[in-house]
Amino acid sequence: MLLLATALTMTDAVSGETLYVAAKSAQLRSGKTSLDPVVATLKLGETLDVVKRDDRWVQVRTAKGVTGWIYANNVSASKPAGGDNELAALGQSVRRTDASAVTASAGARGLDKASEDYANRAGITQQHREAVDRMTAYKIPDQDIQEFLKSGRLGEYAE
Amino acid sequence: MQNKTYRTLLAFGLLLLSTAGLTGCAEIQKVAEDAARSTGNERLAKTIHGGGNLIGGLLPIGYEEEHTIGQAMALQVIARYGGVYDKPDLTRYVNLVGRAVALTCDRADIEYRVAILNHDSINAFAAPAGYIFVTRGLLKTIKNEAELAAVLGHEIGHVTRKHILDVIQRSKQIAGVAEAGLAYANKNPDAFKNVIDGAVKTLLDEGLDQGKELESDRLGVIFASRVGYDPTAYETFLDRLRTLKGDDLAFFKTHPDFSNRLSAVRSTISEQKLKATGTLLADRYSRSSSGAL
Repeated sequence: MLLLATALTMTDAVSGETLYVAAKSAQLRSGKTSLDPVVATLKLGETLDVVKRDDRWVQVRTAKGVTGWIYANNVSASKPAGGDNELAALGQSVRRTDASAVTASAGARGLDKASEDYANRAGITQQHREAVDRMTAYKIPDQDIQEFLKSGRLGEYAE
Repeated sequence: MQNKTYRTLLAFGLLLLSTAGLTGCAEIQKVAEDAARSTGNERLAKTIHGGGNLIGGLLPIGYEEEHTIGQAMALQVIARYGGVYDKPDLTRYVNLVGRAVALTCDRADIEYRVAILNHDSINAFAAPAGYIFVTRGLLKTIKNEAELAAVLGHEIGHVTRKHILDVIQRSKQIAGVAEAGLAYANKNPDAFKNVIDGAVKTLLDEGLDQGKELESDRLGVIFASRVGYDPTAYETFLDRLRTLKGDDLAFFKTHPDFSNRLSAVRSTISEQKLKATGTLLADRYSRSSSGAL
């Protein structure tokens, strides 16, 4: 029993190397194939401690203490940049002198106020406005993208 | 080091502006100019010296502003190209390829969406905040999913590197919008319209500079290759375009010099050791597009 516990600890010992999730979402699996069960779904930028590497897969431990295998192309040694870096966000907050004039957050259905004004001034037809509206709202669940990768044997599903 | 000094300088200026309102702007400008010069950044010092409402204009555009710019440009792109091609299954397929490539691109946290423009010409465009367009003519020229993945990777590259925003920020037309942001755009719609029209002209008529196109070519093959597509598919595709007769002048005007582009792609594949996986997915492409184009 004692021996088993020691062996497990040694297997899980981290190497001291830190990686970051570099995909919008990524699956942590119990083994190093895409057929192994998913033990956690990770988000972009999550910090991972490396346990060991094996070709296309890396064994990692998450901040929550979950250990598993992640496809190597889903991790990066450098922290991925966000959509808004610190400086851009700072500039945006300073420039926003009249918060009431700023439109609803991105992702809400409907055009942004400034875009709507632009459409009026540029004489954009209702049909084309609706096309941009639909484009803005277009969503595909992450699960569907995983299925798409799987059926094309892409990413971690490659043989 | 210089970047850090620049950030500190801007943060200092912003702090002063936010506490003192806009009074004392000239003094702040002088301090900022001297500080920039003392760090050896003469270019920044001159920019500050020549700037009016300097601080906001020097800062990068934030995502909310980027989204509005991208959306307004999308309106004009769709209008200029006569609308979108309304084929839901094909649109979903093109978006799935785009999302698959975007999943592990260098800016994976924003939404990317692709619309098909109902136009025979061969072209693709990217507006800020992930608004990507491919023409029906382009989809007819593409032979497999790996080629489409690299083309979409190229466009995603323009978005990740904020190429259009860079053009806008370098343009004098930005005066006002970059300084005062969306609040200014909402209050001064004419100025905002000028910014958008200028950016669309660059995107559709003049084209981005060669450096930005080559950078996006490199990123396109890297992003597509990360997902497992064969990067050499993009070489084949560019080579095919090169041999096309010049019946699509717009494309060749906005995407010039295929020899340079091909050599950039080849050197990227070699330097980055991108694997020729053989994954082209020609059947899936053919199945998804057959009868729809």
